[in-house]
Amino acid sequence: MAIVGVRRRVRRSPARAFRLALLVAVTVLAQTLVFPHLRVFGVVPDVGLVLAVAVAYTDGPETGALFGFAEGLAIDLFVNTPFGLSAFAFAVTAYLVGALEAGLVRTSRWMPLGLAAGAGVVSGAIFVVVGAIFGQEQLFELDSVRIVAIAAAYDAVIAPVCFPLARWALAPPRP
Amino acid sequence: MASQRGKRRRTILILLLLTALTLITLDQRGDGEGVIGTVRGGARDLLAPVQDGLRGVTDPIGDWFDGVFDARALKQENEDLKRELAEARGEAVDGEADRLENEELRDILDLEFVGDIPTVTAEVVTASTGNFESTVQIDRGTDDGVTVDMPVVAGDGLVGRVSEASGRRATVMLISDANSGVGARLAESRIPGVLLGEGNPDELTLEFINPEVEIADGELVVTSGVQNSTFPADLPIGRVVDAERGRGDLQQEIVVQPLVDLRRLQFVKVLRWPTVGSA
Repeated sequence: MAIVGVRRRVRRSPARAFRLALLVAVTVLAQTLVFPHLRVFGVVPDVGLVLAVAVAYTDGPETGALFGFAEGLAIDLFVNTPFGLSAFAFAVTAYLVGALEAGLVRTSRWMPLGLAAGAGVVSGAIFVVVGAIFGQEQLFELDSVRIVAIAAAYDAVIAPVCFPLARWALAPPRP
Repeated sequence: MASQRGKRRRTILILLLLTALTLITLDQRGDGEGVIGTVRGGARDLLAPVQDGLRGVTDPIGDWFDGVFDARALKQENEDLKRELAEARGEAVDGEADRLENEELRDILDLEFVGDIPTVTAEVVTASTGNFESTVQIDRGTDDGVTVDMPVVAGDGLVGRVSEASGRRATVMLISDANSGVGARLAESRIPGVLLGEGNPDELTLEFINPEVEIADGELVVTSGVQNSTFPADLPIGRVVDAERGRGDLQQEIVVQPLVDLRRLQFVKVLRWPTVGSA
């Protein structure tokens, strides 16, 4: 019971909330100002998604879903697809990663890369399907499989940077 | 205890998803305007000074990166240019005829297409942030007289139309965007159709063309400019590169290559064209 209380205090620590908010701001800057110039075969990575996955992997599905939702909403401000669509896809994907992590017996150094790539595929599929349900049928007509596959690979490439950032943001306050 | 935590987690997720679905619905109903449109515009304006400040750093890096990943495309382009040069040398004798033809085309199509329409010159500041849209952001907005639905052109022809505008920034939906549809016609035969984007900057699809119509490769496609159109008439868009018709088809499959290189836009002109209705 005492340990649960400590974890709750850590989760609600203002320093931690500030660092997570800072990560969202940095993501917006990176996604809108830097990565549009760093396209690989015309595709950009989902920085916000990879960070949400890293947060979920480190702190569980609840924090992951909340952070993914915030990241997605922030990114949705700067794209033309329906507002809330990235938030939906990121929140679900981060929740799934957090839930998956809870059931993991073994881990490896390659885990972040695999998770980021897998999350890229899942999130991309959710984005396309939910978007199409909400009237964006053109998402099915696009070269979506190619886009999602390249984005997922790119997500894996940036994972080694995103996972340490998430660990830093979620670190408990020093005694 | 564990089941309580699991229940709480699921409740949070469901609340988040319901919120997201509500926002998506509101955005769809507001058609990009309303509260969500205002918030989006404010966010873009807020970021504009940072964007301007960082362009000196990000643009050269982007150019280098493009060079690395587009090496194959550049090689192909180089080969195409060499071939074109060889063909041009071989056809030098016909140059005079071509020049006259070009002049004639210019007269017919008014390639000085801007004409009397007032324009706003803008610089492209960034390409689209997401993977599922073909847009660019320009450094002019409503403060400069740019509003939603205004046509946007570059040196060779049509680029797209303004899809969102805030005080200092505007988003241009390129003609290659999967949501883009332009009322167009074949310049020679004057047959109208609708030119649709499919997310590919090199290919557009011209639809609703009768399968009986003969279409030559290389035929110019221009805006039709029908009444209440978003686009004025006769803006050059692209050239036919392929036209196929299967037996029993009700329309032809016509592939059009844009005249403007949509991957490498730098300066564009926004036409302050009356924006009544849509194309």
